[in-house]
Amino acid sequence: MILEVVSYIFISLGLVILVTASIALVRFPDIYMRLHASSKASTGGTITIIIGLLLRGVPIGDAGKMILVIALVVITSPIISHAIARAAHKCGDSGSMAPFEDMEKRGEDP
Amino acid sequence: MTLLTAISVFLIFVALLASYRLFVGPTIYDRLISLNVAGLVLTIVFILMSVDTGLGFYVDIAISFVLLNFIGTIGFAKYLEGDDFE
Repeated sequence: MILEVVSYIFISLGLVILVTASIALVRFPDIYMRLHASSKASTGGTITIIIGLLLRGVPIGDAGKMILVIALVVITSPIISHAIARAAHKCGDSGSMAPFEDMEKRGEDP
Repeated sequence: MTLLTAISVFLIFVALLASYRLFVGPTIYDRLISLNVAGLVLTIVFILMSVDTGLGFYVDIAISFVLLNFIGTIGFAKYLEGDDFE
């Protein structure tokens, strides 16, 4: 009973984090701000919801696979964010920091 | 209809909200990160369906979904960046 309540608390917390990540994707003005908000928040929401589901008492094989999903998300999500940000920066997308980059090109101190 | 089914339906709407940038995003990178977040939310939907119905193979589908998400996004980033991808 108590474990079920704690499980629903974890799942609700993860839902709030995921909705925050989605709203950040819609509302933020810049690709770097969207990456900053959505990558960390989606990873945290995934981990929180899966921990909440593990507290409900799933079979041991499924529990191992869910922990494997957590490990895969923790490993791959920063790599994905880094690759996208690196590609955006190398292809000349300077976001809303464009005035500072123009000052750097002219040799001034921003 | 249990509570987990309702949470799954709500998460599908969250994935639709996250894929807003997939349709109207100004640059290709916005579309890429939006696709990544929507795929991650759908992975959680698969795991919720596994716990809800008691069928274990949905977790295998979730694992392959995470891996395909990773491979696809890294491939797109390599294609967009050009030659000197390390």
